Amino acid sequence: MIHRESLTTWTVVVVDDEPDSIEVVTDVLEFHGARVHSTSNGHEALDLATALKPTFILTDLSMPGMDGWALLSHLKKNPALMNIPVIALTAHAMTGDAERVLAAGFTGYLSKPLAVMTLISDIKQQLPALVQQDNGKVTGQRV
Amino acid sequence: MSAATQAVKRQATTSSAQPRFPTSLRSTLVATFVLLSVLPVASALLLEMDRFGAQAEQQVTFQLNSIIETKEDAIAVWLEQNQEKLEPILADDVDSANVVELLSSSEPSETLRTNISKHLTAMRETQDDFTEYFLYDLDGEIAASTDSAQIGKVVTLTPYFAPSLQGEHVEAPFYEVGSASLAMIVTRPVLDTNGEVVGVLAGRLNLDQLGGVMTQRAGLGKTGETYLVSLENNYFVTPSRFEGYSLTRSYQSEGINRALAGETGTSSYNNYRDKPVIGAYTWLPDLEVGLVAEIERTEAFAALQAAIQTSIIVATAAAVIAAGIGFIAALRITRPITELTDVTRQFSEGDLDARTRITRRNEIGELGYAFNTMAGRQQETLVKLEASVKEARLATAMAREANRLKSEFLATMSHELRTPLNAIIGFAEILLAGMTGPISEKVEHKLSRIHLNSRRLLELINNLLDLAKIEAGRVDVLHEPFSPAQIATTLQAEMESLAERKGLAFRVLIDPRLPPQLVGDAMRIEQAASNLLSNAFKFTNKGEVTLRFDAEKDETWSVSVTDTGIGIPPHALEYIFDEFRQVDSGSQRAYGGSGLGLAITRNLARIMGGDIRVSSKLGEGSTFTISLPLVVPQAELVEAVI
Repeated sequence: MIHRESLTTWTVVVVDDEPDSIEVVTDVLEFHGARVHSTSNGHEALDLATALKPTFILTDLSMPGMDGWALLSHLKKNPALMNIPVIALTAHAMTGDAERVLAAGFTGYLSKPLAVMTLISDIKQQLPALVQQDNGKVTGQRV
Repeated sequence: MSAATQAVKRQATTSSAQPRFPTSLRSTLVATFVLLSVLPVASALLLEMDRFGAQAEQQVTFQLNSIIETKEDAIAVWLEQNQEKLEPILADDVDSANVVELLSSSEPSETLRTNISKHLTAMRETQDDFTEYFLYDLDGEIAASTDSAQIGKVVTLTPYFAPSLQGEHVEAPFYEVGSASLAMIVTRPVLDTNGEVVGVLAGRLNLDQLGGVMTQRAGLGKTGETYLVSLENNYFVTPSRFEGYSLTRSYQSEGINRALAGETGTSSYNNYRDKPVIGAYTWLPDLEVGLVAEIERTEAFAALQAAIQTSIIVATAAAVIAAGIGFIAALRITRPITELTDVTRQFSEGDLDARTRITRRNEIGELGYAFNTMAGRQQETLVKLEASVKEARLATAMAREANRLKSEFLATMSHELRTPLNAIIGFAEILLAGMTGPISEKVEHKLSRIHLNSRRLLELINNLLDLAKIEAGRVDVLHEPFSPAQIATTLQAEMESLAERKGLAFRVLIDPRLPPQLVGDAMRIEQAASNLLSNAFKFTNKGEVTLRFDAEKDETWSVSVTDTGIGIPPHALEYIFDEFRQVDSGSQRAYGGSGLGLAITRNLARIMGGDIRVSSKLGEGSTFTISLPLVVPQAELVEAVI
């Protein structure tokens, strides 16, 4: 049995055009207590981000319509949203993809398939500035 | 221009450094012609001149000798005639009696003397050969003379006096004291009725007349002359035909000296005027004089000189004509060759239609014909070649495009395949993690089988995608500074658990000569090395796996992985890097894996400008070596220099 975390302060927006992908991520995050809002397109994701001010956004890169890259650049253009961390969900990362992702301004990236057992620690590793390791509290600000 | 002709042109430009040879066949031919024509003419000329020269000298000598003979005869005739001229003077009986009386009586009357002198004068005036007639008695006293100043003088000391009493006498030219010149005296004894000598009638010869005889110079040209020289002081008896040479001077020359020495002959020498002459000479014993005939060499050989000049003109003309003919002939020979050379050059520079005109039915024509045939065949071959090159190129392009499409398709397909797989893996893991509640051991076991197989399928698809991406040319290679040691550390961490699990030793060795910083794509190097290490651990059951970074020669460095595994049979070494190939289909089942790892690794090595090689011994192990270009960061270089 996996250790259940208590991530009740997390509000996460998940963006992916594959419902199954969304379901896997949502299942894991909700298991650990986080609130998850998901959508299959970039425009809705922007609306969700504006409304919820989520702890971070997990987004797939390749989607029809507004893809992950476009979503990021929209977020970065909006002063109210530009500080929300964005983690890319990449398909099998060929070497070089990671660099491209970080260079574009994503806070971090996770390769598919996501490792269910270590997903939370992987996310925390991507967001060291956001997570107070000692008490598990999450601030909304980047330090 | 077609592709093939362009190719030919390119080739031609590299070979057009061929020199234009400086020696011209044309000039060689002309020179040969001139030499051939001049040589025989010149040698014939030389031989002819030699012969002609000898002949000319012989001719001149002959001529001079005959002149000498002629003059000798003429002098003899002149003397004889003059001797006879004394006889009629006393032919008259009265005159003869008077003369005898004048010469015999001790005190002859002045009247008688005057009359006889008048008679002598009268007789002398009838001719010019004698300048003076005179009579002297046995005491040598001149009793009468055409020159009254001579009367009473005594001639006993003269050379002719004694011989004149003996009989008719001609005295050779002698130096006459008082006159300071040469004289010639002819005498005839005067007899009384008893036949006794009572005195002598003498005549002084006019030497001008003798000169006249000598200077009749028929056949001696402008410089030829004959003259008489006396033993007396080497004086001339007859004058030189040239002015400024008086009779009464002592003259010397080879001809003069030999004549006066009594010799007869011919010779070449410088004469009394110091001119080179051919001379003939002889001694006239009656007159006791030397007779010399000479002609200047320049005149004697004038004809020869003229002949030489003519010959030179003829030879020169012959040479010029030969050169002209030679030039034309050379042109006729070389022009077709030059034309053929030009056409060959054109052809070699890419004008495949270049052909030579065949104007002559000879060897050169044949050569031209052969060239044209060859050019035709060459052109045909090139056109064919061009066509097949085009075809091959098209085929290659099509193949490449097909391959690209295949890769594209694979990339898309892989993505589409992975999405559901990711979901399967995800859900399996969620269930296995117990997030949906507790599960029985049986279910857990089946779930882990689903999970494991899904993972394997995913790995296969990922490898396919990698390969497809590389083959589709969708991969960029970074050129950034990185630390080989850092890569080694990462790989060591990555492989440690694997080594531990299989109970193998894992060693990492870094060549100290390798620069700490290199330029390249660290991620891909790491990926390639990781692939090799995965394989090594997969196929090794005991012993060790070694990762080495080495500096090599020629600006390269290498990443090599050595194991003590099962090894690779020799026949497999050649296809081990091909896609979907493992040593045998059984090994795939035994060891797992897609069989794409080495193909991907080789592709990675190649897109980074390197390559991969393998050496292996069945049952002992293998070594895979990736060689990569060694590039050092600029800053590093600068530091190294400092």
